Amino acid sequence: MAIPRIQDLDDPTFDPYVSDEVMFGSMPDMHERVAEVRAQCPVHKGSWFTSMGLMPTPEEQVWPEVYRVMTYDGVQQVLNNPEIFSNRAFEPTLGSSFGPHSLSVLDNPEHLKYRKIFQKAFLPNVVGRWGDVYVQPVIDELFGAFREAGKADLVPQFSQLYPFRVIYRMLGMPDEDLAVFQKLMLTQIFFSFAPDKAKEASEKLGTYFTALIEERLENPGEDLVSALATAEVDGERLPVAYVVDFLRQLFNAGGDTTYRATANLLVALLRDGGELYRRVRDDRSLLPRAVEEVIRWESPVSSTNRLVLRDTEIEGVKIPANSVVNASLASADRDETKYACPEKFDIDREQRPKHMGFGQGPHVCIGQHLARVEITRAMETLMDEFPDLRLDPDEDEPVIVGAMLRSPRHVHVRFD
Amino acid sequence: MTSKPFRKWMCLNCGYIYDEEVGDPEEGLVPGTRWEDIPDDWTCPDCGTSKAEFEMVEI
Repeated sequence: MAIPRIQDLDDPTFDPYVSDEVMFGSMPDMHERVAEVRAQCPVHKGSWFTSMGLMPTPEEQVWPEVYRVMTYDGVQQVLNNPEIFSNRAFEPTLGSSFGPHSLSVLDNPEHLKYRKIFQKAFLPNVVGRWGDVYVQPVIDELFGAFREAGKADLVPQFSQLYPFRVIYRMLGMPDEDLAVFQKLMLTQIFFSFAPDKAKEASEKLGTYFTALIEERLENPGEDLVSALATAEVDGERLPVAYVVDFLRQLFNAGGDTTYRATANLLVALLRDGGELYRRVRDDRSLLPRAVEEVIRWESPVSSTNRLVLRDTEIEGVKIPANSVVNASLASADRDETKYACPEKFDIDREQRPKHMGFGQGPHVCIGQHLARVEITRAMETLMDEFPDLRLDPDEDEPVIVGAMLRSPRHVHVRFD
Repeated sequence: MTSKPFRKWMCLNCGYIYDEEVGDPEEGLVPGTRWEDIPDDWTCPDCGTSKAEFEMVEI
């Protein structure tokens, strides 16, 4: 049985990268605004999205009472008490994009049962091996395309591409479908401003993955789809619907976030004359610290949601049942009571308490170990191949923008 | 007398690694704290999974 070709959107000119600003915002000063709000009160009524000038999200229509939790302690309480704060909050949003069996919308005991199966493929001892097999070849290919040019824009030419390609190769999918595939994966989460496009993308991905899983069940290989399609839970094969929903989620959870974190790290290291770039280049033991610090400093996902199952209280503020809380990871990671000078990108900082960039609790990021491998490999290779990398003085300085997923649109560099 | 080598234990729910040599000071586990000396009701600091859901691993 042959793998089917993936179907493009009915409007093939739709560009998810242009639409990114509408969905996730383009403001450069999000942290300044957040700091002001956090200083007023640890918990505020009203949603993160509308407070940031973004479009209201579908869950606000289902559960209109929304609270923003801004402090580290408050966010920690939300994420670590799943018996009160449910992931059902994502049913109208990520649940419609990825599907009702996506890990993002499941609560225990179902979440625990299936998460362990999927996590098995992303444990540190597994993803460490993927660095050589999948990550490094993709990085080498992309760098090879501009190595002789003397200059590049590292967002469209590198960071925006590589994590998607890594996952794509892990799944053993055909190269000729990559561009359409990446477009669909990004479009499927535009549930707020382009719901028809999001639905179309989600359905086309679902059709494709279902056929792909059937093909891999007939001809299992060494790829991740084969591993998941043949995995068992409690002596039964993992249901196809759960695998499809996981695969739909995988590219956004593992691609969108990693590309932004990598681009943010490039900005942090290269700005101010590139002193930090040279310091890390010359002492690679600092690189893991730089990776953790950029995930604290610019948390890839600014806020996450939970549905409140019973009346409760956060930081002294009463929160009624059937309201939604937006737990702001970005605000928690800049909480002045936890981190000195939180606005400073400081690779010498002790990460105590642990940053919230990957979340906490039962839904802590399943791909965090792969993200670390990818970002570390990317920066190691960059520093080896382009030791004199510097921002291009003839181009605008890169600016990190956005209010939900943040990253620079461009990082123009020069090298000899 | 040679001391027992330090080991690493991994949470199967999230991949958090407990390294006996490093401990987890933030969690009140000083460097050198052996796995068997950690209380049974201790939970993974990242995801809250029980100690029983950890396995010893070679990283």
